[in-house]
Amino acid sequence: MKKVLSWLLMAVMLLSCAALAEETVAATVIDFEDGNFAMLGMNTASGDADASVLTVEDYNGSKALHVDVKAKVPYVALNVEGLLGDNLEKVRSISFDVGVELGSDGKFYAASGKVYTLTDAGETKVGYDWSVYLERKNPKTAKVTLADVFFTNGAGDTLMITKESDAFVDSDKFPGEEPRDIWIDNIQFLDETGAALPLDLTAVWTAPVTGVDLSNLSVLSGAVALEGMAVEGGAWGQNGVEMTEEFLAALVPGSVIEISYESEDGSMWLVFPDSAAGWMRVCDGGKATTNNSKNIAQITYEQIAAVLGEDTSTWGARLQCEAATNWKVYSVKVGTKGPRMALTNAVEFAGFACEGGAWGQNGFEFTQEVLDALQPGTALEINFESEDGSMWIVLPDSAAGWMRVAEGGAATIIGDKAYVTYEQIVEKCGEDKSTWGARLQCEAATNWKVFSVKVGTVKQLVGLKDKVDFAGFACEGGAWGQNGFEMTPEIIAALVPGSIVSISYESEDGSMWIVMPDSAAGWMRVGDGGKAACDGSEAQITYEQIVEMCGEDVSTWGARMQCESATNWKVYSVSVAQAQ
Amino acid sequence: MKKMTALFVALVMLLSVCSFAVAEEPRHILIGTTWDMYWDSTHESIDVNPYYSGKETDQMIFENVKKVEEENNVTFEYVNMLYAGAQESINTSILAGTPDVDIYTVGLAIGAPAVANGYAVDLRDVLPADHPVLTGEDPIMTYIDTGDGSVSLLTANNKENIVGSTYPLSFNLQMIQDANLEDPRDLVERGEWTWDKFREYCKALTKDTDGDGTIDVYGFGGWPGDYMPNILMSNGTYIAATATENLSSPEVAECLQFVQDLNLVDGVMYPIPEENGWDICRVLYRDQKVAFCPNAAWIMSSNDDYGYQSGTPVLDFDMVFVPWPVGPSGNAETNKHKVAESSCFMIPVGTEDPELVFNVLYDIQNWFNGDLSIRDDEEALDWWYGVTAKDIDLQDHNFEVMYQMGLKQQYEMVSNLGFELPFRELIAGDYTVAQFQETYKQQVQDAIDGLMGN
Repeated sequence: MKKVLSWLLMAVMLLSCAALAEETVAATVIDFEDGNFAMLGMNTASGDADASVLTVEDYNGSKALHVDVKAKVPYVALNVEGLLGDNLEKVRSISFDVGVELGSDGKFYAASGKVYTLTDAGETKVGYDWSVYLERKNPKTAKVTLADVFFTNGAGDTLMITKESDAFVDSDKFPGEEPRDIWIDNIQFLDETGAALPLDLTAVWTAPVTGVDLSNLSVLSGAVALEGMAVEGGAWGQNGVEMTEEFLAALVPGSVIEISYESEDGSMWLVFPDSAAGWMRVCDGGKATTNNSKNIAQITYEQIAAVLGEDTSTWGARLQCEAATNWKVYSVKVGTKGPRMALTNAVEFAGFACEGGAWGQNGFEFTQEVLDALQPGTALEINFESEDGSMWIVLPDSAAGWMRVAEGGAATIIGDKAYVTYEQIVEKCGEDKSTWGARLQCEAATNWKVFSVKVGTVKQLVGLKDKVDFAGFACEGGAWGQNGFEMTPEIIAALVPGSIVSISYESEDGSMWIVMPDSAAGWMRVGDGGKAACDGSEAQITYEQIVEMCGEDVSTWGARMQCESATNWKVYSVSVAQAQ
Repeated sequence: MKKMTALFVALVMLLSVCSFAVAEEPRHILIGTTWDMYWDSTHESIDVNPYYSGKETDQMIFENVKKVEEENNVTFEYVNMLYAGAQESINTSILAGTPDVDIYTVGLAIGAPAVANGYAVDLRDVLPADHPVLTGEDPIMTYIDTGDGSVSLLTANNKENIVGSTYPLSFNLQMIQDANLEDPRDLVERGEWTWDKFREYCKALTKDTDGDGTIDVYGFGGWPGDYMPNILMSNGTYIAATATENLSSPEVAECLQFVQDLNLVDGVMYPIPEENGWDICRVLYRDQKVAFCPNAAWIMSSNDDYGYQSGTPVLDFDMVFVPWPVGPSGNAETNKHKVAESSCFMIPVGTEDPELVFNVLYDIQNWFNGDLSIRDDEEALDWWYGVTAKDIDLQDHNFEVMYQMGLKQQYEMVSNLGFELPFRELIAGDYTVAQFQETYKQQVQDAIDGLMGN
């Protein structure tokens, strides 16, 4: 009996141990064997980011993450907070297997990239190299060791794996071919002893909420949406709905139709199948303005009128969309076009978030920083919403008396932002800021909410049309370093009065301008010193600004156009266009 | 017995054939690069190079591949490892004792730390002591001395490589003539081109030409980044050429004092603007605001001074190149004149038979079979001649100055420290020389440690 008991006891202990072991063994590697890759995704926020397609496929004898690179730099981002939880702060190195697709000629071409850690709410970005540089070491295990900057759990830190150099593309032997794909497998996070940290593989990565890409576009005010306009179609296939009376009424000179969409080749235009002028395509062949992300297109009233005539009653009942490849449209709206306002040298009014009822004021005491920043040429930027779209400010303690400023439509309203200039305040309250009183309040004619207030110098970026791309213009430079290319005949031809040089870029301080190094007038900077309209991702320099420095005769501007910034910079593309 | 003999003979023959075959198996030499290089044993057609334009010299390089293979019983292949790959390969495979490739072709930023860490073969241990590459007399290849005397970083000894990245001192010939000063070229010739003489000239050439109380022409002016390395070399010194910083040395102090005195004591230096400094300083000579200035072929080309690009000369005066004057601690014979910047070849430690590898590399470089007139054909170097002067004789002279300067290279990391030493502020008098040295010596040392991977 004792024997039976002891056997029973042993069996129970064994079962307990096994159960315990099952409970405590956690995954320490992302090996993709179950096909799950929800813990990562493509981050397309950067100007050079590629919209690579991620899948899990068989590779090198097991499942691996296939990064199908389309054109630019893939940023594969991981939800490291979800994966590692409290252990995130212990991460000292990261290892993963990486393999590179062979060239279309069947030969190996090296590739390299970075592992980026993004900490301090994205303010600190540190990159560590990985590379696959020999055929016999493809695939290989890459390991990067973090130096000095480590993760903090709960701070929104993240990690991205990129591929930035590609000897296949760099060889210039395969024009038009896509960059090589990569496969990633067996991702591990190691502590200072080299032990793999446990991972929660149920973590899910969500794309960061980034601002809408408004590059090249106008901002719509008083927009009216076309109900039911969420449709799709195949290549060269039309689909749409009947225009509502409200939508048609908003289609007036100075208005613009905005289409939120996606299509395989980025194309998008309108079709008016019932027009009195006949079945008509409008802005096909790349004439619609699209943002750099190719997911918002704009077509102005004037562009439509040029095809169908001025009388909207003859445009027919239906509005359709179309593209040269498979497409989807998520929304269509029409509104009055206005410039994008970009605040430079912005100073935030710390803590300014409040709300009020119709004709009700609410606000805070001025900070010295905000008062100091309010100088000639600056404006208050109020990020707000209100039922009727109105917004202005009140200075209740002004020596000139309780004072409304920019009320009754005098504030410039662009989308969800209202701009009240320093000059408008001076007009009501005088130049002496010490007499403006202690408080700044907001007010609207209907219920309102204000989310933030900033002060800065306002620049206006206009919507563009008839864009001519500066082929191959992608380069980078250090602070006050120039880099660029010889202007193509197409670019020179596009540089006419009224044209605008548009630069898609990033720089550490947001500045960007151009240099005409071979100008007959001498080596010339154009748009420096804050003269270019820049919003941190797009810079616009007018033809007239170039004329001011280099003279009227384009033939004397020299062969090259270069970019430059006061800090390290990257330019992703350059084009010359006309204002919408 | 006959059968036995026949079998024996057959066996011997088979063994002989086998051993012959083994002996004849060519070795495959891998050459790691950080960019695409053509042509090698894997390239069956000359057209594999997308930039091939039918030049005769390209045909010679292509045909040389077979010659290299036959003479050394090797095949060879360029492997573009990209920058990050080459760096990783050097830091991992050499350390592990099994280098990935037999030769690395890299920039100095990778090569110099590799040498400092003992990753590169010192050819003094491989080649006979009187080998012309070691003695610096070889017309095909030379080497960059990173301070320890080792012969590890090889470069092609062609003229384009040599004249590239030189920053001669240039002077406005008409200003010198108008001032009735002896041509500095004659002073160079007689070994009298010294800091003192240069200072004298600068004083004589600094002028208020319209008598309004404002200086209109300064003796000297330029961007410090363009001339400080040359001032240092002219005094036989450097700031960051070895594992230990040299900013705090007395020789460097002399250099710093010299440039500060030109400004503060003599008042002969064009005031360096606080903003847009290098852009403004690089066009001062064009506006005849300075008599002497640092210059370079690329600067004059970008300004199209003598119409090389446009065909229409912009300048109606001549800029003449001379080497930098000799400082009190310098020596006209031994002073260096160019900061080494070329890409270089490095044979990694652990490579089998490094002498064979060196010979292959040497033969690849000698695609012109020793005929320097082919390699250094003046027509091919036309840009280097054409951009610095309109007069043919002066073009030849300026090229020769660049060439002679380029032959004497100094390894110097001062431009790669990751920060700029504030020479402008020193020259403006914001620091005394002692303050400057004391303030920045540790920062320079830290940067050197970082570059050397310490």
